[in-house]
Amino acid sequence: MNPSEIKLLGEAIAQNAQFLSDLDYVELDPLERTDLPRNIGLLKNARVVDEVEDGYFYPGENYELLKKAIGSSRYEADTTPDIAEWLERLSFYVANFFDSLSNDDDAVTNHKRQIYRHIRQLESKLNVAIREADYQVSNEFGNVKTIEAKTRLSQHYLSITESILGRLSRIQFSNLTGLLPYPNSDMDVVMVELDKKLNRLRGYLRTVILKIQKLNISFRKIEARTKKLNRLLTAIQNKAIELDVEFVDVNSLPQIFHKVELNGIIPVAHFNAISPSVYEESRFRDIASKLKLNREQVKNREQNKDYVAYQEDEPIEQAEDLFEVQFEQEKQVFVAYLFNCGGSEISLRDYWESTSSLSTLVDVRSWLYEMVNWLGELEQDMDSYEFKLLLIKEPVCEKTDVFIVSDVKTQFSNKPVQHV
Amino acid sequence: MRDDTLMIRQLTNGQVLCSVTAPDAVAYLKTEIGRESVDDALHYQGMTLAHSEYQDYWYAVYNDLNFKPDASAIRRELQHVFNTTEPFLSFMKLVMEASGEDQYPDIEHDFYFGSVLSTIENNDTLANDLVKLTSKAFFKKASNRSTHSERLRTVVDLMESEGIIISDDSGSHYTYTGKLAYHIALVERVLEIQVPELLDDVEDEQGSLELA
Repeated sequence: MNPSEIKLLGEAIAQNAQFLSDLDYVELDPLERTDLPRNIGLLKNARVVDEVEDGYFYPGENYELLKKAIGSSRYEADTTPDIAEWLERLSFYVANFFDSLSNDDDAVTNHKRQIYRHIRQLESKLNVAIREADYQVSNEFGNVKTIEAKTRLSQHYLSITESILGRLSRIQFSNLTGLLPYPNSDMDVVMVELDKKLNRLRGYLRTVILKIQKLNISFRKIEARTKKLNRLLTAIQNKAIELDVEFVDVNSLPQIFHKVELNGIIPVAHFNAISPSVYEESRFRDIASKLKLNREQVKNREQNKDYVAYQEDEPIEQAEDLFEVQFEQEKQVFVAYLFNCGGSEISLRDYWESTSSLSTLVDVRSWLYEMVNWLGELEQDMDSYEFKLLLIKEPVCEKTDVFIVSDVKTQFSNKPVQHV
Repeated sequence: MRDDTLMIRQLTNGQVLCSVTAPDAVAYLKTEIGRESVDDALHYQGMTLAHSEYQDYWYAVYNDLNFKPDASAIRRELQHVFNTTEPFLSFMKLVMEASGEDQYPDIEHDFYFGSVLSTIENNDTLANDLVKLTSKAFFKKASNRSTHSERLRTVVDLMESEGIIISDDSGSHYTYTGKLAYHIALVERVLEIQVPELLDDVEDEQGSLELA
């Protein structure tokens, strides 16, 4: 190749960097690309890619050379140590340590140092591996542009981090102490320290895995949005739908424009108790605070050490504890009931009236207020479901503008993908 | 004059205040006092303050849709949104593909004119798409331009005049605004009511969104 051909090939590689990176993930089926620039021919000639039929590619015989040159997949190769082999070696060093106990002190110390070094080695390698995954995830795989590639990368990191976690989780404290033929104060300390380090690494891994999973969900949401907009565009272009204001029902206009509205409960009430953007602004918060049954008082009381100290020896505290336990059970039973009802609307007041164990435990207003808050907290812990809460208000008497909340109706549903 | 007078006027005029075009206003509206103050002022004009789920764009809605002038204004706005949906989506798709991405842009996403142009000039399919785009009524001003550069510049200028994108001082870097998100959200809501099956994708929106 002459210098100008090398330059052209270099440019072709640069222009098709994303495509080449995607090829790295090809397994059984070839990668389909129909919109590649014309200079892809150079990559074919250089046997970097192999076009099996029009628009379908496999990595070519020289692809691995290129991959090595650009250092792709370095993460997998360099930073994930073989934990089983490491453990085997640790076992060997521990055996050496015990063998040396009959020798002089220097040999014992040396073997102990070797064990510490071996542990530090694993810790350091795993830290680097996890930090790298954490960095990539925190940057949302910013080195690649497409969601498709980002999703593949996140799956790649997820499978590696999960595999490391799986292998680390198999090393329990009992396994470590099992390496010792008999108790030894030095080795006991080593194993305790190692166990602490492994626990910390497992915690770090779990955090990263959770981040990747969350990122995966957001990628899928973006994919769903793109598909949705593609369907919309195709439908308009194929005249499958006609967007004309004449066909919009006048009665649906408030629903279209007023879906999220401040300072008012929306006519078709969708009250998300935990979402700060809605909850904070909701009039219900004000109504609830007027009920004088809010949890802040309880929290404040708990935070007041004097009060707690004063209460310590009081038998009433035991009664309160018992109440809390019973109330917690009632809430759990209700949620189970809500899910069993398969998404149908449930009246919290009717449920309270029909459940004697509950109605003898708390009054209805406490029940309504507590459940609105608690369901909100519960929703926060669930990624796929939300609780819709509809406030039922009644006038306090005839010919009045003053309304009170008499009931709350709730149902659970799947969270929508896109919101406004 | 009150500090928030300008934003009240903008909201009353139907403008969408977003984190791209009016970050200070958005920060103000995120405060309780700012929100209440603006909302009170809007109420005097028969409007209410509204916002997106993540409060990244804010707008005013008419309170009484039985009041004919307000209902007419809304219908006019909706018709304009309808008329521009297809050209806007086509533009977004073109820029998305020319940027090597596979997701439709959303609020705060950006692109560089030069980079998009360069890809279009080197890709016949995208160049054809640009020509097709300029044949649409909304972009007719660009149809008689002779080069891809001129065509794309005119198209981008039209999108900017609609408030869907905004450029920084360089004139080459563009960012999508909250008006785009608002626009798409309105169309989605209409379709949710009228043709929900078009937006439904059980596979995408159900099981696949759960934590692994």
